[in-house]
Amino acid sequence: MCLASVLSAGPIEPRGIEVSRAVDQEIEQQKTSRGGSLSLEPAYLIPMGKLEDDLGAPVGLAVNFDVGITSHHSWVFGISLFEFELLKHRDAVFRLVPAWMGWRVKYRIPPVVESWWEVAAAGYYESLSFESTSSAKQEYLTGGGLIGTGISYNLTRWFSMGANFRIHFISEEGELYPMLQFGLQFGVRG
Amino acid sequence: MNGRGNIFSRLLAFSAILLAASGCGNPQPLLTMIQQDYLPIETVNYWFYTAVNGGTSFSRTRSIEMDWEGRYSYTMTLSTAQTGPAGRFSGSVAPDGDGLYIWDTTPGLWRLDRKLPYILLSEWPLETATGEDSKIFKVGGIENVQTAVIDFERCYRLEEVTTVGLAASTNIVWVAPGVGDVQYGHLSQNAEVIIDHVLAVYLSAP
Repeated sequence: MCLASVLSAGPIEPRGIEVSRAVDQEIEQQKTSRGGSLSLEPAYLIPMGKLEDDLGAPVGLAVNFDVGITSHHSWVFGISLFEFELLKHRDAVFRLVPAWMGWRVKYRIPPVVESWWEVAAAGYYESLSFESTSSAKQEYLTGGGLIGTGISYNLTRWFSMGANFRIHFISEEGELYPMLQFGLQFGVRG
Repeated sequence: MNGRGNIFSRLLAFSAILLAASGCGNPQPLLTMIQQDYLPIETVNYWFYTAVNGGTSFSRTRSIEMDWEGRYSYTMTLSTAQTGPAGRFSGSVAPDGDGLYIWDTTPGLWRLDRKLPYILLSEWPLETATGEDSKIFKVGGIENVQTAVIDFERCYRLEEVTTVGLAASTNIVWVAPGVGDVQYGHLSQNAEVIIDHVLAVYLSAP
């Protein structure tokens, strides 16, 4: 009976071939999956041009969410918070909250690396207040846009980390104020 | 193709909404304002104010620069004595990162007169004179000021409110970026704004 069951079980394949097929299947799945991710991004924001002498360069935090449309394209949504020190008035704080929605194009080098670039429209909430001596606050809402690029490495099937670079263009009454954003990203992949 | 068209049209609509929101409800673009100098003592050295509704026209001249009692100061000279914010902006003054300090000869110390940056509804205390219960300076609003020579946009209106018992009096100064004080006035008993002096001439340092 034991011999009959062995003879009827079919051919036995080596373990290495099974692993190779699993990798191939994973690669094919990544090529066709629409992906998507949610990432936390500590970032450095550097004011450029006219603002260099007035604002410090703070470290802030961004949250980015992309919804896959195809395997190479996705909608991207993000929001971040930065607090600037005014270099000439150190008692005051300038807060900037960019929020953006745009389009991301992704390139995958399976199975572990993904690069992307994006373009987005953005809204910017600005506020100016004193750090401790007064509760007065002045606020402003404006628009603009950003372009960005990044690369990430898949640590596991679900977690990734990487780096990104964005340029914000903040528009105030026809004047454009660029700011460079450098950041790391720690994400959960779909 | 239809899907991509819908996506791009939504993106354009979102962009239009964001750009249209620019400045909605808030008169002061902050990144623009942060770069401006509302206390240009280093760059402007002469102001001449024309009297309105009676009174005496006067000028303010910046002259001597020196280190004085721990601060780098300037000497502001008025052609005739004035009261309120105009009168205080004289003698030894020292612009600092957090505001303008004025030297009080009695008891011999620097007092903060104007707190910077100007932020709407911020206020700070001033030294009271004999008989006064309290005196504060506050940023009351942002207005455009029209003069016979030039119109100044987005001037901060600073209000000096002095309280004696139950009564309060208010002196007002309007400050324009790159120029400084451009107009002085006060509130009448009917809470009506009375303009006392208007800037007619200002000269920048060579």
